[in-house]
Amino acid sequence: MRLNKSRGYTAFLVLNHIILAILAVLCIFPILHVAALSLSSSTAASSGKVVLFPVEFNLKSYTFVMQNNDFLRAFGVSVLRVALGVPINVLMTIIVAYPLSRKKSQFRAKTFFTWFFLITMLFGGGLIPWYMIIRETGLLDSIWALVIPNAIPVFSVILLMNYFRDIPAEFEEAAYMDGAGHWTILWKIFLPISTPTLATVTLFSLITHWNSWFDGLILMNSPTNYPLQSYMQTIIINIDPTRITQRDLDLLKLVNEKTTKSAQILIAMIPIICVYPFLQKYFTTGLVLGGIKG
Amino acid sequence: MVKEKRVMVVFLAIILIFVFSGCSKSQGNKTVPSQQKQEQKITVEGKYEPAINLVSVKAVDATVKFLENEDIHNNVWTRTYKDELGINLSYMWVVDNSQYQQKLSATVMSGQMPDAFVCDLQMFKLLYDSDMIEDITGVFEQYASPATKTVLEKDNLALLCATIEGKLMGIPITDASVASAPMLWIRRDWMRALNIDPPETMQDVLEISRRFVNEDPDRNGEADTIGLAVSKELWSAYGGLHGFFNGFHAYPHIWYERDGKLVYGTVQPEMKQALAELQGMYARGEIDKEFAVKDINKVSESIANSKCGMEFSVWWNPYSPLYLSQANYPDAYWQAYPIPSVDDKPAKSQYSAAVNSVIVIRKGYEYPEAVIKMLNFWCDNVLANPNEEIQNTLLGSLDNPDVVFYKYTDFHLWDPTTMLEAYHNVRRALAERNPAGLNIDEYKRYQIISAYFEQGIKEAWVEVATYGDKGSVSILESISRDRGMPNAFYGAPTKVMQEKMTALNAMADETITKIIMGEPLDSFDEFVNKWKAMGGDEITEEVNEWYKLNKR
Amino acid sequence: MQARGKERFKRELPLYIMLFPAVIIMLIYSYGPMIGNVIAFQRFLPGKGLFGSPFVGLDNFAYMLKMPNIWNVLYNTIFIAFMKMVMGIVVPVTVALLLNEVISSAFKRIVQTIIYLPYFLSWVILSGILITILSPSDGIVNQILGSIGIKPIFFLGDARIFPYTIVVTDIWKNFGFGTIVYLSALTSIDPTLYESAVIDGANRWQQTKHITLPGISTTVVLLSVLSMGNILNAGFEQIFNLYSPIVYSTGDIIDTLVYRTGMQNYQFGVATAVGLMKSIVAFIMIALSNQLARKTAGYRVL
Repeated sequence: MRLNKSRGYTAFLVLNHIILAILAVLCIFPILHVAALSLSSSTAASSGKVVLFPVEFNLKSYTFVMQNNDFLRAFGVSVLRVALGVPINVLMTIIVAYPLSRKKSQFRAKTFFTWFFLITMLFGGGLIPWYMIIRETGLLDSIWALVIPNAIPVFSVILLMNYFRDIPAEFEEAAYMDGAGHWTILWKIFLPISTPTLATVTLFSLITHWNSWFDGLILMNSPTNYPLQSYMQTIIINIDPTRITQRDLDLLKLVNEKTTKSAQILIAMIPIICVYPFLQKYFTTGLVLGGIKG
Repeated sequence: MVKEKRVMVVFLAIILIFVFSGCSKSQGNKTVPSQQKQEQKITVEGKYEPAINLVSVKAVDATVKFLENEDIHNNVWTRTYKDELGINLSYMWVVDNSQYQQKLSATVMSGQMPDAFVCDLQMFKLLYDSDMIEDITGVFEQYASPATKTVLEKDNLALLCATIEGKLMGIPITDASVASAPMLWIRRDWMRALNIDPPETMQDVLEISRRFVNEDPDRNGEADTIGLAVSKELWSAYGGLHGFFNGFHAYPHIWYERDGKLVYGTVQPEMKQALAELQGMYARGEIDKEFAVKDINKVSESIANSKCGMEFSVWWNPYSPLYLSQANYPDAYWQAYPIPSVDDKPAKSQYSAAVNSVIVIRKGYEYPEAVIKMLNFWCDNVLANPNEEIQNTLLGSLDNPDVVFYKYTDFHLWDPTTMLEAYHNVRRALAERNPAGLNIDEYKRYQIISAYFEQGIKEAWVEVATYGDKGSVSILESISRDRGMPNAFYGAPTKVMQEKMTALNAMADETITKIIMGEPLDSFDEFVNKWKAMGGDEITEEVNEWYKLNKR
Repeated sequence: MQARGKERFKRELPLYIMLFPAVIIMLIYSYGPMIGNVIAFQRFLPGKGLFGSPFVGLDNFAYMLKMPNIWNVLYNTIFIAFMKMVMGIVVPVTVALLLNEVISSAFKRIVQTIIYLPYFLSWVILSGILITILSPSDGIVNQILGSIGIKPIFFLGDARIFPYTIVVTDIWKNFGFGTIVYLSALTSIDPTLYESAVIDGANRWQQTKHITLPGISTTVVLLSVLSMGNILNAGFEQIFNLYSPIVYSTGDIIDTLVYRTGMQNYQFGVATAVGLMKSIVAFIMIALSNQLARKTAGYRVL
């Protein structure tokens, strides 16, 4: 499609490929390095011999992590969180986005409700009132505390709402003539043609749930209920040398070994990497379609 | 901060030593029932029938390990409390140590109170202001056992820290206050290389500093060493200057009595002479020319690279970061010395109250004395009446040193002299080559120190330099006897202090840094005037008002 | 009139039903805590709670302005957020333009796949990685720098460097996402525009200038506008996991200050006051930027 192939252009192309290749290497390098660390012997790791490939290859740190009940339990909590949280998020996104995507003539209260949801993105009430309400509604220390209060991802709602809004009116008008109600239009007409955006919404929700750590730390009453990222947050110890107290000395002796920590980081990434290619594909097409429409 | 990982390596080595030599020795240990004669009965008074409930909260960390089938809700301490005292101890939540403060904050702030729990001094004050904690003055008087009272009164600042307006509002958890006192650390191998005697006076210190710079103590043929390590933070736990000033009878950051009133050390005239010396040292290149931009991590680095051989720091300095020297240069050995004086008046090391946390009891809790009883149980049976069997059951067994039982409960107090006693016990055991009678902590130290002398494990020097003969702990002892200068102000921050102290201290740091780097000494007087005008006088007034009320 | 209203309600009823569960959840868990903002005007005492604590008017706001570090923190926040914002547009747009020139679709896909990955990892995980590789003593980055003669750099422990470490690592995490977005905007440009440009004799650079850049300008404006509302969001999760007291002077931001003031110093009134101020400023910023986007790009964000 592009025709002019001057020498300058060829040089540019070569340079371009090199730049992009370097960029990609820079991006992935830290992750590969940590992977290499996790597969090296701890002496090699701490003496700085490891760069991109494991030195004195072994799986000890993985065996160690796999015997670590806290880690496995936390992994399980995170899986459960995703299994409950993602379907709820997606369902909520759909049934909120649809009414908000209606024209004002179809839904008079549309503006009011749009703002109703938007405002929650802008204002919070602070940690303590939030904690209080979660406790008063009996969710504290349960998996639902991580799922219910975040049931409506407002950002995803906006995304899907915009997508719905751009669906040509003819689609629903035909159905409307046939006597179909809102539910039917949503389920039978809108959803089937929205799969790319739904995939995007699913991805967002999945990532958000898998990656959340703060709520788990505050809302759980026992480390045994921590989701994985909360657990990881507590083991990535960052001791401040200006304030070491006598009590910390004990802990210093136990600071996680480099290889073990690396292994835990890697394992925590696995679910993301597993769904990554699959969802990436959907995610991109979803956005492209959105782009053409918008 | 990331450097701490290296500590791991050292400690792994030490633990290995312990495990290997421990196998044989601990058996011998058991066959010598040295303290058999001692009273072994557990002493308890007033068991609750039927048992009562006490809800608390708890922090655990990676060092808290359990026996099989046990956990924080079911272990030797929960069983002991139940069986011996009739107290069902349960936890509202148990979180990682790093989360304790946040979780407690969320719980308490949202209006929920455990029956008894540990909190920091700031929350302690807030809980008092909010009328949420019980006044235990009477309960403590009535129920605390002599042993408990003795422990709490040993550190003369402890109970006062938990007293507000004359009412005892909680039980202070004490670290030894003197543990924050500075001492002088010097590379002994360098001193030996240059034929230097241990410093007796501050003049000696200056001399050592000069020679460390000029005479190539590391024998690498390069003039790459500095005399005294100083961090840009100025007052950090290591590479700090408190100790230096103490040698000149100046006591920055603490309040002490002068002519019947409390004065703030940072603005006293004694500061000037010390500053003049520091200025000279800087000019001669004995202090890093770039110290003003080098933080504490850089100090660790220069220690690790064997670029400095002298610094002022606290007793545990070998654990971090001095071990780095030895890790890189196997013969490096740091020795602690008491702070020498500039004149014939002995120097005093400054320290502040070490009560960082308090056990409080919820206002309206039906059995406030239950907490005292739990503490009595600890003090009577573990502290006041130590014997092997009880130590093994309640503290942790020597056979399984990773599982430390006392960490399962927060209702324990450490005698502030424990560290000093441990020093003497270890020393005796080393002299007699017999570890009998040592508790789990002491035994570990004994093993490590023996490994240094008997097996030549050089990494073990960190224990030798602390708990070994003439180690830093022995200096703490003299500090706690008569060579210490305690901070006379131990109350909660006063109003103006809260608002302005940070800014005033920042101004002080700036002035001091500039003077060291060559600004005329007179700017110190200017600073003092500014300090007074900008709120220092107000704060001094507030502190003295407090002093009038709390003076004993 | 009445009948029409009734009919209308009947028609709209399913829409209300759809919204119902979400509205309830939002009322409880998002609007409920908002009542907590009254703490900003109270001397909050935990025992007395929200309704019993004494009101102190604007004292907390006055205290906030007197906090010795407040302006410093505000500066840090805006500095870091602004840098992130600018770099968050420049880098992805550039990479997207470069990627767009790549002919081999396999290469393109590989690069996309790689640069996109960090976006999906949490700051907890990325911090773990960063703390490992940036360690001044044994981190790989300093080892590499050391091998070419550069002294160890304390990326996370040097106050002068910390903010830049934050910006660069933030770009590392997020630019992949931006790139994909701009790339899809690029692919949606009508190819016939290029064809006619070529016929008119335009070279690559002219094509880029007159077709490509205008083609993605809507997306650029939209995303910049969206990020303008974030001028006070310098990234709590990232900084919370990476900072330490050593770098407070340049790395402490409003959100971390609020967190520490409340959770570690127990001054909830002050913490809430600061948080409320932040929300209000953010709200104004978003409203303004929305307006701006409508005028300049004709784009309705909502």
